[in-house]
Amino acid sequence: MGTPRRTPTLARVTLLLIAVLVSACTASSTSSSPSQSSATGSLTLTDDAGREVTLAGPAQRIVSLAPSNTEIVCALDACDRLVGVTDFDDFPTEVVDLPKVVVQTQVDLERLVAAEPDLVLAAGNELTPSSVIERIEDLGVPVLVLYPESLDEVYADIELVGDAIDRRAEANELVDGLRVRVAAVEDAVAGVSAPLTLYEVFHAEGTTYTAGEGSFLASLLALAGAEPVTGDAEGVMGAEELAAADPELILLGTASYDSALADPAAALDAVRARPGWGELAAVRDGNVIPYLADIVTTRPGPRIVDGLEALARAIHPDRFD
Amino acid sequence: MSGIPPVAELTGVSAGYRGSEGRRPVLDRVDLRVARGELLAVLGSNGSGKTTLLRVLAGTLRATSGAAELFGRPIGEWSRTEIARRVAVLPQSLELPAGFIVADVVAMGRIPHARDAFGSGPDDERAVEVALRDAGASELAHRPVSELSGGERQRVIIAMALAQEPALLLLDEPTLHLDLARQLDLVRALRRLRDARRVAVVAVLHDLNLAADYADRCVLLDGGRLLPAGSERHAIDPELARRAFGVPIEEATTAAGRRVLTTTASVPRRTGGEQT
Amino acid sequence: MRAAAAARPITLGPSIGRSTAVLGGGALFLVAVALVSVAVGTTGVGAADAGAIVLHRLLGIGSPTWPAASETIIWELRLPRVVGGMLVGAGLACAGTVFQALLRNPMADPYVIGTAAGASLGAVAALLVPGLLPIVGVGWLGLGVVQVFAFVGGVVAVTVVFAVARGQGGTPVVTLLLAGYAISSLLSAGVALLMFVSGDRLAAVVMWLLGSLGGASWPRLAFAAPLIVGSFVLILLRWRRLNALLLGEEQAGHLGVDVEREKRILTGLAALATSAGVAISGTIGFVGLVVPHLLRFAFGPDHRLLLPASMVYGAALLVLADLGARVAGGIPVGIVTALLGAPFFLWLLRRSLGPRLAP
Repeated sequence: MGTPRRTPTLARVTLLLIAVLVSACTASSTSSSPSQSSATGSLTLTDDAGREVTLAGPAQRIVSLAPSNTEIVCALDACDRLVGVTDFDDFPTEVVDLPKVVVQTQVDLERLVAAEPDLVLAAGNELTPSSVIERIEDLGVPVLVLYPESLDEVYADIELVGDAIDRRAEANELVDGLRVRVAAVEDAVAGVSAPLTLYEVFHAEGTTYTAGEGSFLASLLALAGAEPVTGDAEGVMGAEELAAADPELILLGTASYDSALADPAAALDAVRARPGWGELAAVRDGNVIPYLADIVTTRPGPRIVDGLEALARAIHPDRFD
Repeated sequence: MSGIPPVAELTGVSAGYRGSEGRRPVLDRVDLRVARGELLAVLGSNGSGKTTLLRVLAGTLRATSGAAELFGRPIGEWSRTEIARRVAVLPQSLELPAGFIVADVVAMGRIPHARDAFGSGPDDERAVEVALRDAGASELAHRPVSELSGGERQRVIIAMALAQEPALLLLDEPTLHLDLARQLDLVRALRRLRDARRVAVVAVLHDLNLAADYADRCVLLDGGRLLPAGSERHAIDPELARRAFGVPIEEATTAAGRRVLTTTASVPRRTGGEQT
Repeated sequence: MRAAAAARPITLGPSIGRSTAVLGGGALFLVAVALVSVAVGTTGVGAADAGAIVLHRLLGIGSPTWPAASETIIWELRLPRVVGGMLVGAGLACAGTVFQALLRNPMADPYVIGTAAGASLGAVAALLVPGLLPIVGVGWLGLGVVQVFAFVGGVVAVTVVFAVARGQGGTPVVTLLLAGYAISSLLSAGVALLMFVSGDRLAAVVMWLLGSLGGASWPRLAFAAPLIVGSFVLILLRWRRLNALLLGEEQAGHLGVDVEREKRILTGLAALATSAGVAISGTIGFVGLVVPHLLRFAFGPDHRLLLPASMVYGAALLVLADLGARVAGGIPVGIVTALLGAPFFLWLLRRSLGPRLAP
């Protein structure tokens, strides 16, 4: 007769649970600055997820799993080191011809391995699933996770990538330039009253997706001289909350993708037709602006500053020539 | 019979089912002794506890009081497999799983004797052959089970029980579905088993005459009590039978001199008319 | 008495020839599908290189004439995926066969008493809390947190269902089914709630629930394989008891089967194999339901042949489905099994009903 399997199962389960708890107590600690071992040339960096990653040397074959990461690499004049990108990458134009390692947001591990990368730049917040990150690391390729949630963090990411590819000087230069432009925007809109502004990322069935409370987009709007209308943490806003907020100005980010909204008059009509929207101050006053620079405004790479400038121009056109 | 324990012995056994506590138990202080090679017929009206009695003897229902022994040991001390090697049960009704052929179903009776993990040995094949023969179902051996008639199925189930090579065979209304000829075949086969291998049989039967003619002994279940059904003169006493079944029972003698029992309750031929 | 002896001598069980044909044929099918699967992928590593790489890794034959990337692709990506497909497919089909016999219900599948719902809840919970617990990224035995939680969730759910269904006299099959349904519903509601609050992790959750072999890696297979194979062996040894259970619990008891004990053991083994499989691949549907019916239709209900056949053909069919899923653009294999499994099952139903005589 077979022995009942209940007891061994229970023991195994208990062991597993204990081990899981034990490993919870041995989480890796974080360090803040890159360390370099001069003897071997290897370098250890800390990414946005707090992970300590060691590279054997400056990366020469880079796979990017997000368009913003691609743009950072190219902005540091290392586009030629890219061996794999996503099918969403579109800037600069030459990356469109690179091998696609991410298809329809799914990472194709075979193609990734075939590209023989020595560094993978992933996206944080599970945009690249952590299981995939683990798999890539198990296959022996270091992964840096980038997830900037503010301008300062974008600068830090540029510097991080700069360290990873031995282009720190170029990174510093790029960041300095960006800081100058941001300061210029701040100067331009200083002292002007900030209109209550709704930035529409997406709209469907009575629900509006806008800047989340405390989000990167909200901070950009504030820098651009607006008082942002924010939804919940995810940026979701219902029709009632929108009516209660009653924005003075509406920027239609959706116009970047929907040509029907590109014309201001057409946009205003479309928006007025939405239930409840006709009563909004912005709509009554005709302050509905089709915004065509959504891509750069929501892609946290070097061109985010282009986005900031576009926002400022849209909100305070009289402050710019 | 000195020293050889009876095949089964129940002493003061009461038994019932969950939820029936408080009411009279289904079996009420039953005493029964089944000797080796004894052919015992159990009679009783529906609901008198015949199936319950078989379940207690098979060890699947535990007595709530009293002692129940199989082959001299308390039933509770036998393992399921040990019981199954000695006791075979033919239930009142059994659905045979589709897709098997008769020989493989009968071979399930060899499970309690199974020795090696995967194969069926020559012992098993022989036992199945013999069981089929004794049950009168040899020609059915390779037929798919789903193609059998009611009577054929009954014989296959009997063969499955016989394949267990039991020392005690418990049959719950085995003559259901069988025509007269096959009923006789069955009881004769039981007699042969008894003669050749000293198999004890406890069979629940409805046919009083079949029971009286073929059983060594008849017992009657009435109101949970077990009584001998007969007296010195007759295997079945008509008066006891009348009390147990609640219908008038009459004795008659056939032209050939055989004694038969029959019910004399009259049923009107024509409906709606006067009683004749 | 009609005394005709049987026209042919009695042989019991499937003949050696038949068993060889069925299982041998299945094994050949499996090997063929596995070979094709290893040779096909999104990059051009072809059959010749694939074969050479496998031989080199397994037996040390030959020296590398291929790029290291090709070796990684074959050995770390495709081969674990194929082996994982075999293990999960065999495990699900075998568990389905066991549950269909144990519960005497043709709609039973490996998930019916709570494994899928429990594993899903565990996995989804693990997918959603990486920010809170520092154990993400730290594997144990090469398993991610999600795998551990999925396995534990499946096992715990079945234990709870069994405990709930247990009564005075044993665990009636109907109660087991109903308790399984009720607890699965409860756990699924939990999963739905978590999905609702998952925010941007919703995609990851949905992908897991659809089932995919993309996460198969050697460490995970090393965890699941002993559990699955161990269950197979112990289940295979019980083929007689499973056959007896087809006669109903009472009669099986008369044949010497300790029915309540078998229920516990068989449920435990099948649930172990299923949970281990789900930990690798998420909840892949249809394999555990359709394969046993298909095989029973083709080869009969005798578990002596049906159990090993379910393992071999279950393995082959899932590997085939995964091949289809990869060729179709990397869609989750659970979609393929449902898309193909459902119509096939309907066809099977029509065939087996056949020309019916009026009842």
